[in-house]
Amino acid sequence: MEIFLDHVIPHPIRDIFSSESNIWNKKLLLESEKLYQISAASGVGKTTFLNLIYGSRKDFEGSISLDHRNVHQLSFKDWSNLRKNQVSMVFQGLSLFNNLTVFQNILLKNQLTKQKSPNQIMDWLNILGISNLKDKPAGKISYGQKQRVAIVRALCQPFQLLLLDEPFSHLDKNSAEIALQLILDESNANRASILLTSLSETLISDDFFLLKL
Amino acid sequence: MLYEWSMLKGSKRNLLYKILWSNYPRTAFIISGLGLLLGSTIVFFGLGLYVVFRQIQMSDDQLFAKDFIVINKKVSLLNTLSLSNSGFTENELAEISKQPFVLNLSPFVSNQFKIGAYTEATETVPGFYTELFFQAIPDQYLNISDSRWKWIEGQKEIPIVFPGDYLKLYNFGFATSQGLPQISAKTIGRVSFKVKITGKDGVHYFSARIVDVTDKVNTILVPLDFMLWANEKFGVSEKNTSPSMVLIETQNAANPNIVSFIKMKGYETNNERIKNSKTAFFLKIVFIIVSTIGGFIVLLALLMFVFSLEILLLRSKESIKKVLLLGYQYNQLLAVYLFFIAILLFIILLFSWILSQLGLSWVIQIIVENGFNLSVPSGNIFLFFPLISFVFLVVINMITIRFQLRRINAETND
Repeated sequence: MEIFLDHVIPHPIRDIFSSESNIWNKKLLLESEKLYQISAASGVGKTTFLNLIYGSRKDFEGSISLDHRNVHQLSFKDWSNLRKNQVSMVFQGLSLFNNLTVFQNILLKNQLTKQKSPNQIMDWLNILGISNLKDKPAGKISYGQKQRVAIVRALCQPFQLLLLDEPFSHLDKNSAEIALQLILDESNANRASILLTSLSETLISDDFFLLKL
Repeated sequence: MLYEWSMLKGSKRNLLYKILWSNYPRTAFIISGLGLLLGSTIVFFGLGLYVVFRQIQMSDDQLFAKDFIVINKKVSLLNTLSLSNSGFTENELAEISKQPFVLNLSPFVSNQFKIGAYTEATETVPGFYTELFFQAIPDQYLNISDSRWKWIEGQKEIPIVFPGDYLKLYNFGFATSQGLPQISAKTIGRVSFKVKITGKDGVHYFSARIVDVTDKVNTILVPLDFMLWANEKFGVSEKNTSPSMVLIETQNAANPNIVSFIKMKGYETNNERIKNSKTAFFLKIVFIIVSTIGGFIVLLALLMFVFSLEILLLRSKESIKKVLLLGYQYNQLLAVYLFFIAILLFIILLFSWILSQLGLSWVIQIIVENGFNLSVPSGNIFLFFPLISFVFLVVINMITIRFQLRRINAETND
C-alpha cells in the first residue's frame, strides 16, 4: 500500500518535533511492498505516527493518503473495511482481551476475516513457542508471550500494510528473529509493505529502510 | 481453504458477548427489569380492563333490534294525589319528537281493560291469581322471530316478553320462599299461564307464553297486533289512554344530550346504556389512573434500564474501542448488545402479559359471577399491546446503544 504524507504535524507534538525528522512536516512517499523501520526515542510520536495511518488518531495538520485516498475522507465503515482487509496492526498496548484465552483472542480477529484455518493458527503458535498457552486467559501470560499472540492475531487477515509498534520489545533475540521471519514470510505472501517502529537505530534486517522521526 | 470450525469452542457472537457483557451492572438490570415487569403488567391490565368494559357497554341484550331508550315521567306526590297525570300529553310527545337525537318516537300502548293471570292448582303447586298489565310497541323494535312473536286474530295463546327483574323477583324471592322450582332465562320459554280478560263485553280467557326476557324495558310486552285488537274489542273507553312510557329510537343511546334532556324535563329512564355511561365514566377514571401509574412505572423503569445499558457500555468502553480497532462494524456490536436485550425484554413482556391475563381472567370471572353476560375478548387484541411495547422498547434501546457506540468511537478518533 502506498502512503503519502504531506506536511503532517500531529497536534500533541506540534511544539517538540525535530526539524531533522524524515517524517514530520515533510513530503514523504512510502512505497508499496517496501519495509520501513521508524526509529526514535520515546515520546516523539512513533505510536502517534502509526495511529495516524491506522485511523485511530485524527488530530493532525497536513494530509495523509492511503493508495491516493485522503484519510480525512474515509468514513468509519471505510476504516472498518481497511482494518479488516488491507491494514493490520500490532498495537503498542497490544489490545488483547484479558478475559479471553490466547486462542479466542486470535479467533476474534480470524472470525471477522475468515482468513486462516485453526490448524494454521496452531502452527504459528507452535513456531512462536506459545502453543501450550492456547487455552490460558491472555491476562495470565507474560508481556513477551502477549506480544507473540498479538503478532499472530495481526497476521490473521489479508493486508497490504502491516503496522508494527515495537513488536519485539519484550522478546529475546532468538524469539524476535523467529517472529520477524514469520512476519516477513506473511507480508511477502501478501505483497504488503511494513512500517515497524523501534527505539534502536540499528536496522532489524537489511530489507528495511530506516526513517528518523 | 480448510476450516475446522467444529473443533472451536464459541462462535463469534459468543466471543463478542464475553467481551461486551462481561461486567454488566447486574443489580441495576435486575431492578429495572422488575420495574418494567411491574409497570407493563399494570399497563396491560389497565388496557385489558378498558377493552373488557367497553365490551360490556356494547353488549346489551340482543332482544331489541334498534338503539333506543324508554322514558317515563317521574312519579311524584301529585300523581299519588291524582292531581297530575304521569302520562305524556300530545304536546309533550311533539316536543320530544322534535329533539335532534330522536329518530323515531313510539308511545307504549297500554291495555284499556282488566287483566288477570292465574294458574290452576295442582296437587303439589297451589294455584295463584294476580292482576296484570300489558304494554306493546311496534314489532320492528324487537328482535324476535315472527313465528314466536306473531299474533293473529283468533289465536288463543299470547306471546309475552317478560322483564328480567320480575324473573329475578320470582327466582330469588318467591320461588325460594315457596319451594318452587327456579326458572332460567333459557327455560322460561316453557312457562305458560292463563290470562283472564275482563272488558266491556264480558270475560275472555287466553293462555300466555313467555318467549323472552329483557332487562331493557321494565314492562310486560305483548304483540302490538294483539293489543290493538284487544283494546278495540274489550277496551273501556273512559280509561286514561295517554301513554306513560315512550320509546325513543336514536342513533346513539349513550349520547349525553339525551341524559341532559331527560334531566331537564324531569323524565326518567331505566336504560342500561345510560346507566352504563355513568359506570363507564367511573371506569374510565379508574382506567386512566391505573394506566397512568403503570405508564409512570414503565417510564421510570425504562429510564433505569437505559441508564444500566449506558453503564454497561461505559464499563466496556475500552473493549469496544479495541473491537472497533480490529475492524468490527457498529452493527456487529449493536447486534450483540441488542440480541440479549431483546431476549430480556421479550421475557419480561411475556411474563407481564401472562400476569395481566391472569388478572384479567380473574376480573372477568368476577364480572360473570355477578350476572353480566360477557364473552372474553379474543387474545389477539391483548397481544397487540405487548408486541407494540416490545418494538418500542427495542427501538429505544437500539437508539441508545448506537448513540453510545458512536460517542465511544468518536473518542477513539480524537
